[in-house]
Amino acid sequence: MARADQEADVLIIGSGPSGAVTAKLLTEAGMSVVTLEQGTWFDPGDYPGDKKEFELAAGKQWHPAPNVRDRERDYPINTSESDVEPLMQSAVGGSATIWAGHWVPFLPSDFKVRSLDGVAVDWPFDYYEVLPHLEAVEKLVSSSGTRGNPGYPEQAGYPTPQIPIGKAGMKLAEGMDKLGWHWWPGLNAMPSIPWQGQNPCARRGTCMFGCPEAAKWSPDLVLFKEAKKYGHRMIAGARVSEIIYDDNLSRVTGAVYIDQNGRERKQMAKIVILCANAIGTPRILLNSKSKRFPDGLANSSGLVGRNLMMHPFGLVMGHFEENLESWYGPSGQLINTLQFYETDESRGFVRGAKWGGMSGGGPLSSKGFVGSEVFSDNGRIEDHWGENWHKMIESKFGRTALWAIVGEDLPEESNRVEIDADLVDSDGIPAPKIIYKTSENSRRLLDFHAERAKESMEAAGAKSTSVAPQMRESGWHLLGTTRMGNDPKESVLNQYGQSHDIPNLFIFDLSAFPTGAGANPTATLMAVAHRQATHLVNEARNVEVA
Amino acid sequence: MANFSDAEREIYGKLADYLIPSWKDRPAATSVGVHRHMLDEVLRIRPDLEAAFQRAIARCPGQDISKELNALAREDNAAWTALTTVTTGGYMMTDEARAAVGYPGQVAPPYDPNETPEYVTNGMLDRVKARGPIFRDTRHLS
Repeated sequence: MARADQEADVLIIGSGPSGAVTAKLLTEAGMSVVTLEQGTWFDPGDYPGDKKEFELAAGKQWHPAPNVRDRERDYPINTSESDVEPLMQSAVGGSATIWAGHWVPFLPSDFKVRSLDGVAVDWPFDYYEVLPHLEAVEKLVSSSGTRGNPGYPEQAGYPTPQIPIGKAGMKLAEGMDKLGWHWWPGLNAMPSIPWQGQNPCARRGTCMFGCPEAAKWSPDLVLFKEAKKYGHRMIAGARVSEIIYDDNLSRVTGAVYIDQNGRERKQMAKIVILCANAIGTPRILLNSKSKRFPDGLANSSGLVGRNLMMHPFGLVMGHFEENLESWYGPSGQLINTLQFYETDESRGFVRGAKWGGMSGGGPLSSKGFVGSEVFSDNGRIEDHWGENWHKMIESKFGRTALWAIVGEDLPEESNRVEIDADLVDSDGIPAPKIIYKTSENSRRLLDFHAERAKESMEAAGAKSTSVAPQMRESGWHLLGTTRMGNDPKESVLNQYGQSHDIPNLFIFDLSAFPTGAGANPTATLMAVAHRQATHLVNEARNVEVA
Repeated sequence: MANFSDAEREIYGKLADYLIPSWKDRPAATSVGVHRHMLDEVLRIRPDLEAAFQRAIARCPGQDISKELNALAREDNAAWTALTTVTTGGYMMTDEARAAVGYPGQVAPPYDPNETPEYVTNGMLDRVKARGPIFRDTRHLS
């Protein structure tokens, strides 16, 4: 028999960026809030970024793919039918503990792709409705940047000054300048001066292995500490097996979870908000079956788990004569460009991509320039090892800048999350399987952008370039599996992230996004969560609770 | 963690020096201890590599290194990847190799966030602004 703890006003499942914003706003409004997080707390002192072994550790313990890390706190994912490996972290703070801090708000057109380009669906609200919430969360994350980017409508500035773009960023900017293409100094979720308890970015360039400086914003560093002052309760190491649905009340009443000691417990609540990412959230819903919802909770539309989007991701590297000291960070973007973001049908595809300019990384990243796969085509190891390895290091290490291309992935119902027939996590809870195929539109998009990125590298003076199109381990951005919309037959949630089926069930994570844009989603994720949580606070008396 | 015999370390040293020989002022793999203390250090950090690494050295006795390593790369990718990861990982963690390639490690360089950047003083950013907005507005759709 599961033990039931005291009922909360609100139960949040998942402690990433959307869960953190929600917890802060709701607790400040006086609600009692409990967050269940499957992972545990990380200590910034444990992050490997300031240690010599950081790149070796990044290959296993700090790898972003749960299937590679294979820790007890991770759940396995069957990816045998997916072109892309999903990436995430199980921890208080979620995947934001290992994100790069790239802060790239969606653009106005991203909310209106059906109206503008005749594809996918429009969002039930627009950019301008999100903008004030975006400006609010840009303060919360202690962002650093330069105001006035003509890639966006005018908006407020950022709380801390621009972090230097370094020699690598300057080299990339010079190429764009020669071509007359748009670029802008990188906007990042990390301060350049001490701010709100965060330290200034130290430019170690190891953001994606956790920030040992406690500079890069992540929920565990700031928002949950603030929420605790108002009585927020975090239960770490709590793995939710199902959400409890009362057929008589037609409401959810809480969740069953397994604690770190393997005990089954219940957390009851008047309102449940899922923030467990676009694989974790549908997994929990599909594992929560009842008489009314035999195919998974809140799934009368049949769309729970459908429309999984993962941004197509490519890298174009430029190798330069000069020493760019390109091991320095931040791994947050040095500069970025929206030059080819909007649709131009003459290119043979719709929508576009944002490029983030980044440094080449540490010495083992240089091994990636060689890779193991080159030997599959009858090459010989001597082509890349021995003296040639030294020559490669001499010509590329520290001398490489790169464009990371994040393209838009359009929703398709066939790309989906299911419950695997056999796979379970370490607590025996059924694990997800994803079925995902990269679309022809995405392939054409990446090919076009890679060619343009090569041109910019050549304009910048690169002596050679390397292209890594559509990498398998690139599923950083997981979106769309319980999307918002106005029609209950075509969507799972209404415009406030509220289930069409169950009025006291909400979803505020990237699952709710009807489309994914061609940009890193965390800025918009947090802004939309801020909008939804603000609405919930304002309408709390009217929400039909358990 | 495995205890490697002197013979195993000697065999691995031959393979490591074939992958990373001395060149100009850069040391060979074994001269920075890749087959000695650095092997132990790498496998302490990455014990998951041990089985595939042992497979690699068992399969490559160092009689004809080129033939052995080319065959390994083609026929046992996991073992080849473990061998090269252990070798480059160990090599690049040493002070000697880092000094030779001019790499200070992931240090924190000092900077002044209030310093006016070069791209502002030389007019590069002004040229971006002068070209004007590039986004598609949607207010007419709301």
